Amino acid sequence: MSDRHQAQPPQPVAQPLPPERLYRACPAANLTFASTAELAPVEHGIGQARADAAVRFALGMKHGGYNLFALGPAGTGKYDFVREAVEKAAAAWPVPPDWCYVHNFAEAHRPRALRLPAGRGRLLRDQMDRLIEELRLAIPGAFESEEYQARRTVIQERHKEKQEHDFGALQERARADNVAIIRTPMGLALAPIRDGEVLSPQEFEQLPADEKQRRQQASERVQKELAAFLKEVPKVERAQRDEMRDLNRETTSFAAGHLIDEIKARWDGFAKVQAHLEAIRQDVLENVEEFLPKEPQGPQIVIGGSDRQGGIGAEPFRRYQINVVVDNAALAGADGGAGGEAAGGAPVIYEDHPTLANLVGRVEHMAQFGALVTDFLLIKGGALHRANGGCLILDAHKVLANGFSWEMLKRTLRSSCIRIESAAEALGWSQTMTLEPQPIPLEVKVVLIGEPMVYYMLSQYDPEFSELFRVPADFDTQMDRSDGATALYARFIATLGRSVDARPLDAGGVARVIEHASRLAGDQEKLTTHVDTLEDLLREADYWAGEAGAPLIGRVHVQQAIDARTFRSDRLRERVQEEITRGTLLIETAGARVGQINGLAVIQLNSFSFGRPSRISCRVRLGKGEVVDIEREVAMGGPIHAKGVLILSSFLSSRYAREQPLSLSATLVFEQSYSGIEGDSASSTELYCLLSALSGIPIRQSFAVTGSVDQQGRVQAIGGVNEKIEGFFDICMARGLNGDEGVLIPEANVKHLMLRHDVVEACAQGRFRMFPVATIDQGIEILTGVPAGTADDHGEYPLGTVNRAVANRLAEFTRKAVSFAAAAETAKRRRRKSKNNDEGPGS
Amino acid sequence: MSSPEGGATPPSPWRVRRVVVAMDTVTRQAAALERAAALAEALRSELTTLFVEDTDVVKLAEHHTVYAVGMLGGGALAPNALKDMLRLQAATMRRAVEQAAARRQLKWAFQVRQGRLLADVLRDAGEDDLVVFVWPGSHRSAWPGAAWTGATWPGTAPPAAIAEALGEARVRSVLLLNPRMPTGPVLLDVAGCDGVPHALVLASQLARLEHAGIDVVIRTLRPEEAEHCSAKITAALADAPPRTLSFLHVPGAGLEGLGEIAVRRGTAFVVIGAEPALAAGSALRQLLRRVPSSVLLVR
Repeated sequence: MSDRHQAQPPQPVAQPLPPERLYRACPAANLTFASTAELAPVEHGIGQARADAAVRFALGMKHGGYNLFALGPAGTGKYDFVREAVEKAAAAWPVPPDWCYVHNFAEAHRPRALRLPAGRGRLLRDQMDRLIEELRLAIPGAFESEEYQARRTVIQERHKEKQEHDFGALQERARADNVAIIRTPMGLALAPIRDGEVLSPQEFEQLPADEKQRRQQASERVQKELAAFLKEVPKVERAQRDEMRDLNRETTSFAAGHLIDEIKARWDGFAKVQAHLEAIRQDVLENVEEFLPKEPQGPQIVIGGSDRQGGIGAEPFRRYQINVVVDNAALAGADGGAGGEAAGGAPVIYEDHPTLANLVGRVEHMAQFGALVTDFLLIKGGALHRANGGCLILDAHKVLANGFSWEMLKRTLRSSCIRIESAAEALGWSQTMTLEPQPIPLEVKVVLIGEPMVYYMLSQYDPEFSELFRVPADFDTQMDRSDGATALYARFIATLGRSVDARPLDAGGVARVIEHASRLAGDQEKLTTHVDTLEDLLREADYWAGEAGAPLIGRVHVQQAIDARTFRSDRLRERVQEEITRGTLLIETAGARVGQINGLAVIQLNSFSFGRPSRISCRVRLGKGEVVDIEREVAMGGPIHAKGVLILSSFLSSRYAREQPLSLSATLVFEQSYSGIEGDSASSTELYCLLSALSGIPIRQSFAVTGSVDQQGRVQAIGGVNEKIEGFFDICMARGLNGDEGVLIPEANVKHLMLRHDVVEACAQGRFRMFPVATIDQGIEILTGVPAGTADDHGEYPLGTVNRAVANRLAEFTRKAVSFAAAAETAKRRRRKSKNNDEGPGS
Repeated sequence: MSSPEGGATPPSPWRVRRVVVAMDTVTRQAAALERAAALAEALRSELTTLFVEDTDVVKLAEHHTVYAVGMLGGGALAPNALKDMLRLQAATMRRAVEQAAARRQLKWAFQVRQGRLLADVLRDAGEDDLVVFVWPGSHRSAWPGAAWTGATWPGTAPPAAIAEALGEARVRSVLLLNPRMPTGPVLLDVAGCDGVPHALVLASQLARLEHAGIDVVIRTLRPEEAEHCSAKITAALADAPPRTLSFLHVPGAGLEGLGEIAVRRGTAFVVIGAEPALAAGSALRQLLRRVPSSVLLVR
């Protein structure tokens, strides 16, 4: 047998599918419970073994970068699944420490972070608050004591007396030289005197010359002495201030030292706390004036809030307070609530609004006298602070949608420390002086939840992503429908029902939910794991059960919920069908036509989809081997659809014109199509139509066809088979079924059939038929009622077959094309000869 | 100091006729003038300002060359610089008095004279005048060194000199006004009940002016006298009670003790209303050295 003319094996005749293959029922009798109330809950979601393993792995890995990305379509229960798994794991992790911010006495704008065992942060805060209260009383009390007042008076008087004495001596010396020191608006002036009275200019002029000169010299001497004296005044005053400062320090130390020592003793072993308390002691000693009642100095205006480097306003004790930004007292059982029982474990935080500030914290400001001021007490922790030592769950899309959050999250994970920074600071735009809190070390497991597209986009375009989120937890939308799985699925339904506060289901109700779950999965052998959809179904079934006053959700209530949901969504489907039945959209369901066939398309509207029959037509003529897809020509067809047309074109030439040019020109079009067409599910349909047009054999219009085709003529599976069948069935039903109607589907799609009850019933009654086809030949036979024909060893098809007719028609096109080409060549030669003759030898 | 609250003045036959503000050439007195004007308004008195150019300063200003030393250095002043300064100060002060009086619609007078501040003001003051000397307080310097210069020179009212001069003067009331002292309660000192009525009148007015209460310190040794005083004062203020009225019985305490009380309670005005206190010159001097408050001496 030559390779060129390999004989084709005869095709088996396709038979309509029996009704039991059109729908996989779930017999309620197989379910061994009367009510889902009897069923134990399912701890985790089901059908997510892969995701479960990934989550466990990620939570178990302590190395950096093993953060988790839970990916899956919306509604698959990713969040609940992950949260449950994370909480279970985190419960066994150690309780993380508390974190506090305290004033930095060396650099006020860089508050220090203090790490304390869980529950001790608030303890230190409370102790410091009490210390402040005690200082508030003790320091002024010490300064009001008799002893202090006496010592203070002694210092003041001593210096005052010394100044008076020194000045008095100077004045006496001046007076001895007949010079008085007089206070004037322009300073201390020197005046000549006699007998204690200032001399007038005239009196002075009457003095003898030597006397005047002597006085002049005396005046100059006094002037120098006075200047020297005044120069000493600040030194004397400084010496007095120093003595007062020493006294104040001594008094303060006496009043406050033992209070601070008491707290230090309680924090033995906490070096940083000890150091901070020591810094407080030094600060109190150095700034004791701030703690005393203010001495009267006349009215004062405070500009801005910060009266000194460490605080807001005039409250001197504020800088000794403790800002507990992470308080894990509840986890440690130190919060005094719930009987003091420790919740234990590490925190699991879900941040619903992951702005930059909500993630890494922020430094708040207060408006005071028109200025924005801040201090360490206004530092607020973010989700990363709260989740530190535990787990943080975030919605990937929200993180990406919030400016800077994603970049900051990555930076934080990379550096393993939380640095509080505003967006303006991150961009270097900040003009306002603010704080730079000491970064806090971070050890956290971050779980991002998002749709697969987000995951793959990040993987593709963000090189850091794969390093920081090394574990994908891929959530499946469906699971196998085995007998064992059915029982588990029933428990899953029971769990979901409880979670949505629906009443229990009886076995029939569960069976119907399972069947619907298969329909949602679009597969007899699969069940959907789309949690949101199932929860909606259970809620709505519960509503209908409630309306009926039923204690349990039964099959009828589930069906009612499905029907009502469909009814709410199918306005457009109804309009389309109405236009078809009224003849506006031309779809023939009876008779036979050459070059015309019913194709099937699916229209998706949000979560609702329906099938819509489309009339496809084909015309052929002599040409250059082109199959023109009109949809593509007008840019209404997508690339996959164009690919399908090219495949059928290839099939045509390889089967019928292997050794001759394909001399046809064919045009294919979806009639009355006013929107784009995509997908290759109509490629077999278009091929049938083309074969009909070429062979001249009409196609029965009572059939609709779906399926893609390969270059060998094998029919391949398509999507949305149930909706497509139901779409054609509804048209036929509306016009009245007579038993001729049916749909050709790819054989590979039979397992996907979960058809509506009325469709199955019509098929069972023989009023509607479903033909599974594996090849184009099988399909064309059903559609035309004419054998397809199998090629013999010479590549010849038998007479009276579709293939023979097609081959003959193509051969005829070729002959005509050759004939036209020869005639054209002859005419060309003649024109050339005539031209040569005209030009002649003598010309 | 703000305008007085409404309400009746405690009944008394005695009232201050004039508030005489003693001004000199060296102290900053704008704030003091404002407070004195407010006091005159509260007392419904005339505001008289005596601007005294010290004789010695005037004589000195006549000299062709004047040497002066200040915190910023020293040297000869320009010819007539001191004289010009005195003239300028007088003019400025007059305008200030005129404006302060006009704002409060006070009857006012402004006089410039050459002489000695203490002696001239106290000599000219009448029995029903309230003489106001500007005083920077015990421990605050109007300028560096004022604490030890204040007692030596005319100008800044020297407390001890005032205490001594007051004994010979006809005037009943002298206020050493510290214009930098913020609002606060009035501390009324009552050694016994003598002298209470006039002091009470003024203390009551000051408390109303300050929107403050009155703390009465009774220093008598006899409890029954203290009780008597308390009752007498309470009754006197019954018609126009101050915001708060409290009594502190400190038997046998000196004026020094009064100073400590004033400091602790943030007192704005110390009103010394007992005759014996004024006689105790050295004790009064000690008090004035210690309290930052304004001090009102009432006979």
